[in-house]
Amino acid sequence: MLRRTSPVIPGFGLTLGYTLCYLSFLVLIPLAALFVKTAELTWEQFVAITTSARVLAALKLSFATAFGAALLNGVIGTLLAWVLVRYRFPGRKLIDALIDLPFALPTAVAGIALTALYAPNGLIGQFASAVGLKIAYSPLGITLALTFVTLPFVVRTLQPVLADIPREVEEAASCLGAKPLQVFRHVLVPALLPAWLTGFALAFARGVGEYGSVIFIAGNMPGKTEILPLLIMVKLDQYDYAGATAIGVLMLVVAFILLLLINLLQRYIRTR
Amino acid sequence: MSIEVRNVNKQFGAFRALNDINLDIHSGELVALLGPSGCGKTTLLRIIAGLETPDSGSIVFHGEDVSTRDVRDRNVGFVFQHYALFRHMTIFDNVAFGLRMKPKSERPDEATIARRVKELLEMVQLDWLGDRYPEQLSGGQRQRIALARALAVEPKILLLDEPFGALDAKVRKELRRWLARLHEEINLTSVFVTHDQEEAMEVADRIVVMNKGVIEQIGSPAEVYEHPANPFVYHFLGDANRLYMGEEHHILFRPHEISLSRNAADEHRPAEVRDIRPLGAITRVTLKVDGQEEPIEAEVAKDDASLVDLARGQTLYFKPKAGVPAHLS
Repeated sequence: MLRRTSPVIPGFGLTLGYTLCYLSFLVLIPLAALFVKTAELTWEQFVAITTSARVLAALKLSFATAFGAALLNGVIGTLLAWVLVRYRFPGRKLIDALIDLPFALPTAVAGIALTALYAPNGLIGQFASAVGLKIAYSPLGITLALTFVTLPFVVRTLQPVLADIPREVEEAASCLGAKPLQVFRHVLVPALLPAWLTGFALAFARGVGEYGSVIFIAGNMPGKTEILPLLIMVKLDQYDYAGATAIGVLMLVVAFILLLLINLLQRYIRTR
Repeated sequence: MSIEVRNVNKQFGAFRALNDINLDIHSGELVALLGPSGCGKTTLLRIIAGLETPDSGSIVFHGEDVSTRDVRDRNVGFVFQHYALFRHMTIFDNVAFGLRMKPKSERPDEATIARRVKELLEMVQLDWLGDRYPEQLSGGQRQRIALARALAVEPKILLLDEPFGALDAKVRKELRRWLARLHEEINLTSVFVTHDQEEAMEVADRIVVMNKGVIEQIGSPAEVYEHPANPFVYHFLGDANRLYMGEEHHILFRPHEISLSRNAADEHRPAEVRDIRPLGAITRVTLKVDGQEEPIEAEVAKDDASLVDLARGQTLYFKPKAGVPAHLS
C-alpha cells in the first residue's frame, strides 16, 4: 500500500492527500449525508418505504432495464469497437466521433428525440405498433434510452484493448487450425473480457442512475414504467426528504453490491 | 513435402509486391528468402502459408494444388517475427493450443496432450517454463516457444518470418545455429525470411535472393556468393569495393579479396591509410586512393605482414586479388 514506486508524479503523501480530499468533498461526504438523512427514519419506517410494492417494482425495473441496456451495449459496442479498430473505411473518423455524442447531448434532448421516434405514432414506432410492439412508454423504451445514453462506455473501453491485440495473434491461431469461432472464443474473448466487463459495469452503473432521458420515454406509470430515480423525485416533490434518501440508500447499496460482484468476477478472470 | 510456387503475382494498390514468381522447394530443404525490406519476401511466405491470397498463380504442396485451401487446412507451421504468443495463456497452454483446437474426433486426450507438450518443451529446452506466461520470458525464449507451438500440430512445412529479427545479436546467432540443427533432426521442409545475408548463408541449404518483387537468383550459399547473377546480388551478399580503372571503367571486389604491401610492388597501387580497425580475427584498413572519392575497405588477417606498426597517414600498396569487371555494374 505504501510503496513509492512512481517517481514520475512525486510526493506520495501529497497526491494521496489531495485524492482523499477530493474524494471526500465530491463523493464520501455527500454519500455520508445521504445515510445521515436516512437515519432520521426508524428502521421500521425504512423497511416499510424500501419494501413497498411501488418501490420494489421501480427497483426491479431500474436494475433490469439498466442490465438489459448494458448487455445490449456489450454486443453492439463490441461490434462497433471491432469495426472501428479493425477496418479502414471512408467515414470511420466521423463514426468514431459520433460515439461520444450521447455524452455531450443533454439527456432530456435524447429522451424527447427517442420518444418522438418510437412513440406509437412516431416515425419508427408506427411500424412497431403495427406489429403489436410497444416501444415508447414500456420497459423496452426505457432500455432503448439507456442503451443510447451508455453507448460510449463499452466502445471506448474496448477500443484500446482491441487495438493492442496484434493481428498476428489471430493468424497464429488460424495457422494452428483454429476455426474463426474458435479464434474468437479462445483468443479474442479472454483478451477482451476484463475490459468488456469494465465497460459493462460502467454502462450498467450509469444506466441505473439515469434520469433525464428515461422520464420522457417511460410514461412513468407507477408500478409499471416508473424508475427509481423518478420515484425519488416524486418523494422530493412531496417534501419527503427522508423517504427520498431512503430510496437513494437502497439504490446505492444494491448498485454497490452488483459492482462489487463484477469487480470480483474481473479479478477471478485475471488471476485464473 | 515439396513446395512449388507457380506464376504468383500480388499487388497492393499500385504497389507490385510480387511479379510472376516461380520457385521450387524440395522436400526436407531449408530455404532462405533473402532480400531488402519491401522486396516481397514476407508476402511470398504469407502466400505459401495461405495468410495472403495471390492475385494469380498457384501454390502446390507435394504435387497437390493448395491455392484454394484455407490457412488452417494447409498444415503449415508459421513462426512470426514478434512471436505472436497468446498473452493470457501459460506457455503450456500456448503449446497445447493447436492440439486442443482439433475437431473432437482427432483431438488427443489431455494426458496425451500433456505428454506431447512436455516433449516439445524439452525439444526447445524450456520444459521448466510450462506454467509461466509469455511476458515473463525473454525474446529468445518466446521465439523458441513460438516454434514449439507451431510444431505441436506436426506440420510438414515450417515457415518462419524473420524469426530472429527482434532478438539481439548474440541470441540471434545462438538461435539460428540451433534452428539449423533442429531442422536436421526433424524431417521438415522449412522456409525462412530474412534480410540478413549472414544469417541466410549460415543457416540455409539454398538461398533465394529477391528484389523488388522478383527473384534475382536461386542457389546454394556458395553459388550465390561466388557466382552472383548480377550486381544486385553481388552487393547484397556482402560489402563491395569499387575501384576506378580510368574514366568510366571500374571493378568490384570484396574487402577480403585484396593483397596489401608496405612497399611498391607489381600491379599494386598506392593509397593512404585512413583508418585501422582490429575486429578480432581480421583487421579492417580503410584506404584513400588518388582519383576517387569512394574509400577502399581492406580486410586482412590480423597477423598480416603489412599491418606491423602501420599507422594512419602512411602509404600502403594494394591490389585486388579477384574482382568482377565493370560489365556487371
